[in-house]
Amino acid sequence: MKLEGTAKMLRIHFGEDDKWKDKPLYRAVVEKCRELDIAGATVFRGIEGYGASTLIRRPRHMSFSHDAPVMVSVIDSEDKIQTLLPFLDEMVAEGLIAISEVEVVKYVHQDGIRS
Amino acid sequence: MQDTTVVKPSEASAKGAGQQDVPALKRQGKAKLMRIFIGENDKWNGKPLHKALLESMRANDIAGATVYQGILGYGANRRIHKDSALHLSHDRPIMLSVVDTEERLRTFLPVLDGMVQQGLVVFSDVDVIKYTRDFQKVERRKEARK
Repeated sequence: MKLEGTAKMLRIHFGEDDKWKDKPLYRAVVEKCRELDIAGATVFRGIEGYGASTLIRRPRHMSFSHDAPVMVSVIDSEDKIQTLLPFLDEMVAEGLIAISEVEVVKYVHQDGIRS
Repeated sequence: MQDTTVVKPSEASAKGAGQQDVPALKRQGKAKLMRIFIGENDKWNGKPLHKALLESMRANDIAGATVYQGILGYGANRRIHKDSALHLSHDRPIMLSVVDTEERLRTFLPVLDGMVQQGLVVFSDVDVIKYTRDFQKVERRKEARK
C-alpha cells in the first residue's frame, strides 16, 4: 500500500447518536472504510455544534441536541474515495460530506512491528 | 482582573497595560495546514509522541499546533490487522493540526521524519486570517513618548 502525492480528504459531519442498522453510524463508516481497504479513517468528537442533523432535531427537543457532533476524516487517493461515496449516500441520512485536496508528504507503516 | 478604578480613561496612561490596551492586529495571507495522524501510544524517547512533536515545534518556532484526540480509527500503523476486519486499534487516534508558511513547515519535515515512525502527514492550502496583539505598535508608541 503506497499513498503519495496529491490525495483527497473526505470529511463527514453528523451526530454521535446517528445509527446505521442499530450500530453507531461512525463505527459503521469506519468499518466500511476498512472493508474497502481505504488507507485510514479517524473519528473525532466535537464538544458543541449544529448542522444538518442537529437543526432538524431542535423543534422536538426545544433545545440544542445532546448528541455531540462527530466528524469522520478519511484520506486516500481520489479513486478510493470515489468507491466510498455510494455507500455514504446510503448510510448518511442527514449530515454533511466535504472533499478537499491534500498533499501526502509522509505515509509510513512498519510491517510486523505490531501484530 | 485589575483592581483599578479608572477615573479618566486616557490612551497615554498605558502604565501597566494589560492585553486589552494592546491594539488588535489582523493579518491575512496564504499558508499551509499540516495534519499529522499518529496513535496515542506512539512514543518518542519514552515520551508520548504528540507531546514530543509539540515541544519540538515550539522549539523550531512553528506558529502554532493543536492536538486532537479521536474516538475511533485506523491507519498506517494498523493496516496489518487487515484480516480481522473488526479488530480496531485500542490506542486512540491522534491528529496534530499545524499552521505555518510552507517554507517553515518544509524545514521542519526532516525533524518530523526522525520522530514519526508510523503515521500519515498531509499538507493542504489554507487562507489565514490571524488576530494577534500588536505589541510592536505599543513599543513604537513608548519609543515615541520618550
